[in-house]
Amino acid sequence: MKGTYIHPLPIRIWHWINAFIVIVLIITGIQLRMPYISIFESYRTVILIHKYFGYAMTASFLFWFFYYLITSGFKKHYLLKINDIKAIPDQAKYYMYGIFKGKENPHTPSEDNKFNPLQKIAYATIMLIISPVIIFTGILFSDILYFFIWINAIGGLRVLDAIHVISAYIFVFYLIVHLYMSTLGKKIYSHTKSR
Amino acid sequence: MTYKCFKYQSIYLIFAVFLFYNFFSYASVPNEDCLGCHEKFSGFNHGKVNCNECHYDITSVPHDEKLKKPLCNTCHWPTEEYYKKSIHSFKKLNCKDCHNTHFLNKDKKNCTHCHPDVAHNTLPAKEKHLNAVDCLACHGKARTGHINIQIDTGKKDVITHKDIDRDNNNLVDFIEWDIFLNTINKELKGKAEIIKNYDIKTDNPHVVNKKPVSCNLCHGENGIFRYARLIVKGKKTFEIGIDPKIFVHELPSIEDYKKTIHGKKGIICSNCHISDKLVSDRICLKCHEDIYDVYKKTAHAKEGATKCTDCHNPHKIKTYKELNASERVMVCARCHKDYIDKHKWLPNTVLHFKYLECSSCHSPESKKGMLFSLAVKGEKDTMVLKYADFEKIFGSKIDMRNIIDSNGDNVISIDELIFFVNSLRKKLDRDIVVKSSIAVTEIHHDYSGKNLKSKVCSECHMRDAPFYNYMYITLPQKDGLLYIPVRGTILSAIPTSIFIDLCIIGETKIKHDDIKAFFNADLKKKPKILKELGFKLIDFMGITIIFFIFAGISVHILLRILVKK
Repeated sequence: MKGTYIHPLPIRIWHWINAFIVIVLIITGIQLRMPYISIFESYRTVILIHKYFGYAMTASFLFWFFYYLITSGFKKHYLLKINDIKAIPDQAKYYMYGIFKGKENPHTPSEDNKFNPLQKIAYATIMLIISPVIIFTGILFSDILYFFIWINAIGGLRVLDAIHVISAYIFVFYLIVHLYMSTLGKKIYSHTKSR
Repeated sequence: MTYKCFKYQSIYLIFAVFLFYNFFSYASVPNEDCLGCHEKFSGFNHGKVNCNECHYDITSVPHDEKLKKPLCNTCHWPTEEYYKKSIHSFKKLNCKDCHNTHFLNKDKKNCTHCHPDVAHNTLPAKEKHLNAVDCLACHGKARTGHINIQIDTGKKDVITHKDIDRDNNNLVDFIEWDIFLNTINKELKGKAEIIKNYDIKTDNPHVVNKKPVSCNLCHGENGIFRYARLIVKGKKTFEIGIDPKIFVHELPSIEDYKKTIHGKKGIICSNCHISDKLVSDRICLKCHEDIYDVYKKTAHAKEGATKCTDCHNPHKIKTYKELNASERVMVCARCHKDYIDKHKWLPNTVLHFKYLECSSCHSPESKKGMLFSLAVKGEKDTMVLKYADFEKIFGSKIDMRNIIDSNGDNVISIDELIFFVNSLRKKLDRDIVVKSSIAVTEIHHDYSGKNLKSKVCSECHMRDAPFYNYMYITLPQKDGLLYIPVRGTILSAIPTSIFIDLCIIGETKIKHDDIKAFFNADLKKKPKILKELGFKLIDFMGITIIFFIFAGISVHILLRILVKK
């Protein structure tokens, strides 16, 4: 094996488990949102799968969160430093222009500095804002009667649904870009192999 | 009592029992001594009982010529208690008249031994009844009954669970059975043998009455056949529950009739049954003329196919108002058997028919309302709470209205409902759900409209759906149901599905038609259409953005390829 892994083993395992959970949630989410798209035969099954994979996502998120909290990874990998802010234009320029010319990526990932500033912004938004919102609203959905007071405070089921779905759409936007960007390494699979 | 005293008494008691036992065992005459003279009884069989135990007055052999009659009730006293109530006992019949006491297995006498040819002329469907059940079913004290239906399809695996139980609720109902019979007649050309076995358990076979039990015992609304089982034998043998009323039809009873709305209003049998012919529509229209005026113009009446009594059963205790959605569907499904197949376009067809009745769509002029009922969540299904359940929680002689309507304004608000459900959950320590169904509260008898399906979910699943204006919670009372209006505006603001274990569906979801309408519309109308989309805008924007993201990525890929070259 050549090179070293940028991400530690637990995070690599977490990433792929989380990826699986997210894919299942998206597929079932599509049918829940658009019942005329029949992916599974029974609508009820879809509800149940979505519910339990939602719980799995909650557990997965908590693992990720506490892992970084304990290893103080948030400060290291997610906090935007002054240098990062300065590097944003260069990074953006690279994706929009340099990459076509075959220029080098201005950011070289290492174990201590995994993400470029754009990645930091994207990942922090998804993992620290969007995911918690989806998880929180999802949990409220899991027992509407039990969380009745909370749901009422938010503005009713309709608003809760809107928040959940808008966050889900943002997650999907991010996911599409994330998947495409993962192929922009030296070779198509370079980033995926995370070395 | 001191310990010493107790000890002596115990020893004395044991000694006394020992003596008593020995006295009798030595006093009894051995069977061999009896059989020496009474040869014909050799090999006699009455359990493990010795001769001397019944012929108790023989103390030595040879014995007196005149002996006392053996008393069966020395041992069989519980049976005697039952037998005392029997017609045979009144007629002074003895045990020996039916039972061979010396050889229990020999000369077993059944009813036909004494009653070889009872005419049973007054028994309707005589042959059927006499072949299906034994004498005790009607002349005994029947307690429970169950029906076993067996179908042998040979070794062909032509019948699957799904063929019979089309709605997959593990119970074969009238419609499913009817469709299934047609199928097996077609596929197996009547070769499949259907064996019906009616098993009735009686309290004690010694209670025999001359007067048979009332037909109601089996054919009443609460007949003894609570359970029926269908066993399908083929390549794979399987079992499934089946509605016993398919085989033991429900018949009207005078007692039950008095509880019906017609009975309560003082209408007697002869008011409708003016001859021995079936009741015609003319009889009904004597009172229900205004309804008939609407009805006679409709397709149902014009084709002459449907009479009032084809849909309405005035002998039923439950009024139409008290039927739940699925029971109401059954009324139409008696003729419209293929209703599920015809509604395949409807997502969750079976689920919808649990909560919707046909006239919700097919009688557009009917007034629709939403009915809520409280149910306990079981392992498989939910069970609607009955009056007895509430009595257990709140004590007897309760007024349900006072319990749920805490502010006494005769309208249930969402808070009152939530509070009530939560307190029930705590008291019962079980999951309580509020079941809901859309029901017609004021019926308009015109069902002629065909192709009424607009296939738009939002017609019902929206805030302004007509039934939200008439919402009632139905609570069981000692007799009948209590309807209390539920404040609609509050409930409709929070979709009612919060109570049902359904996901919210409705106008918040975009459809192909919405997107098509947007693109086909003029430029001027487009903002208006967007505005009307409301919460659907989320999907509209979402899908549009996804489209742009893909477009952006495609351009990016294209540029990478082109510039590299």
